[in-house]
Amino acid sequence: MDNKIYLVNPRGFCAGVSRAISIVDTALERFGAPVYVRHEVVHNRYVVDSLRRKGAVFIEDLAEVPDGAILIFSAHGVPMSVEAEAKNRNLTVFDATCPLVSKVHVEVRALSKRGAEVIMIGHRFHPEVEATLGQYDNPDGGIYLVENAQDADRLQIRDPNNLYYVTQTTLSITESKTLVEHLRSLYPQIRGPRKNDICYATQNRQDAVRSLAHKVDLFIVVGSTSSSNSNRLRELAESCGCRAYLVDDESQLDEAWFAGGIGSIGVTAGASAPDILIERVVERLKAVTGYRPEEMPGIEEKRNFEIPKDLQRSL
Amino acid sequence: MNKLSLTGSVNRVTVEQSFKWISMACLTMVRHSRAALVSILLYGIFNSLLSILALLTPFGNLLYIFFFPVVGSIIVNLHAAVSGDRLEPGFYHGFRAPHFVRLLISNLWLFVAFLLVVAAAAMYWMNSSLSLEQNVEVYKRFMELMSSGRPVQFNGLNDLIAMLGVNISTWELVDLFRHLMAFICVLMLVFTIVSLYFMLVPFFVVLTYTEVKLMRLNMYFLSFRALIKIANFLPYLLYGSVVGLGSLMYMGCVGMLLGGLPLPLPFKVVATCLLNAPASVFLIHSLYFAFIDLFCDTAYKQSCRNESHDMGVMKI
Ligand code: SF4
Repeated sequence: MDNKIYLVNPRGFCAGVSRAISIVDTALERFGAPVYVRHEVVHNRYVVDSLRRKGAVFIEDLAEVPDGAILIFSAHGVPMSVEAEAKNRNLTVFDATCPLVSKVHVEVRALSKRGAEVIMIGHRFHPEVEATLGQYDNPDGGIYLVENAQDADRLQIRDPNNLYYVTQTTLSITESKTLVEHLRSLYPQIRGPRKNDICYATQNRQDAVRSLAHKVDLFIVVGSTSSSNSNRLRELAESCGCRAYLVDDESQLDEAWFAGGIGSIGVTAGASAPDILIERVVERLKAVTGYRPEEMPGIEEKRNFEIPKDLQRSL
Repeated sequence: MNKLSLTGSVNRVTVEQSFKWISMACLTMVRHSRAALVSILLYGIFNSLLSILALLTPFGNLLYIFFFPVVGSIIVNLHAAVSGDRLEPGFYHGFRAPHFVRLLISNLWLFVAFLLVVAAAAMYWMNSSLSLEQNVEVYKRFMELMSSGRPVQFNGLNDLIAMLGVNISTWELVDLFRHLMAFICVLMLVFTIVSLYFMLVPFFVVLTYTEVKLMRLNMYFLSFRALIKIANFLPYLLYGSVVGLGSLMYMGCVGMLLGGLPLPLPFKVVATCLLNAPASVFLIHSLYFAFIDLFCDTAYKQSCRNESHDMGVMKI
């Protein structure tokens, strides 16, 4: 059989990540270094390092930002308190929050206003989850983070008739579905978003991996360990019966993985991994295995988010 | 007796009196046009200022939304409340229903016609390339988005679609806006027709009052009065609130749409003023109507102060 390196489509950058990076790039171009970015603008080491070299300063606490500086919120969004702090300090802020994350924020704010209780399905300590939890500020209700079924079992809901759930945008589709079903069994009246909170990029990348999994023995996922959706892609490939590895770049490929006559290889990339890293990984795979790369057909993603008008105008 | 005095009254009208009437009529006309001109100018200037404010300040559109209907309705309704009864003496003679009920009855046709056209326009509005459910969903989510309290920044239609969380293409969203705009245009058309109708009434009133005194043509007077009876208070109310609101919706849309275009500010200001001109006409008109009618009424009373009854002006 003719073994190949199958390149999954779609893969790599999503609209939200592209926009966030453009915002930092444009701000650097317009205002010059330093430009402060709250949290890594996207979860990719290569991207963050190259922006850092251009003059971006990645911070976690707004106290690190000097007065009058330019501040950018990462694609994951920020809690309301951070927004308020930046406003109080009169910092010039550009918001690189992905609109699909903002959509969840809007949902949570509306529920907070109504005093409904909200269950947030997501991963603890992920900045997107923290930002979303931070959109809720009504003491009459409450927002609770649930990572798994055990968390759900421990919940103490005051009013199950006024209970909603929202999810992180980059979850595993199957896992979140199972968890939502579990929540429904506990609280039949629970209501969810009218449209899934999991974003199109996560959905498309996971669907593409699932449809290729039967053809390959091994999956290489290009992305950083901090990237939620890259981790989900690796887990998904594994759950489909393939061996799967998450690599930041070609240097992390281990030749031992391909020893002993391996079959075809699938290559995909998380939403925050740039094309250049994928190309380098493929080149290295070609060199190690001698297999030919082949693009797989897939959904064409046309979505594109524009950078803020204030930044556009300055160009 | 009355009839006799009417037919024979020409003999009693002296040349001096005729001049007096003519000059009174001219004065009235001048006053009307001056009032109309002033109100047009004032509103024109005011509207242009608001257009500029709407573009320059984040709350500019709020001014559009709140100021015009509030002020428009107050002026128009006040005027209706103050002068209405005098415009319609004896029409409901002996009919003791509350004033509002009488108005409602006399203007029912207007309501029905208005509702029919608006219903048709609304059907068209909802008939975009999206299904009715999707349409409703988009508007519902838009309202949710705007009322969530989270400051949202749209940098394009894709952003908006993403934040709405709807599964539609940019083209479908544009099509939806297109239908919304068409709906607003149909509304504006309805308002134009209604407005034109009412705009004519004050002229008739002017003509009636002046002509009656000059020529004693009671038949005209009768027919004009009939017209005045039909066009009474409720249209004022409708006019103030609906036309005002419609104009504002239109102006708000123009402001928002133009505000979002990457064009030089002076161009946007000029374009907004030009595009808002039609809507301003409605707003100008509400004041214009109120002014001219009030003046007309005053002029009528002035001209009648000394001689109205013995000049044989017919009381209906
Ligand atoms: S992964 Fe999804 S939510 Fe995250 S930035 Fe990309 S499009 Fe937005």
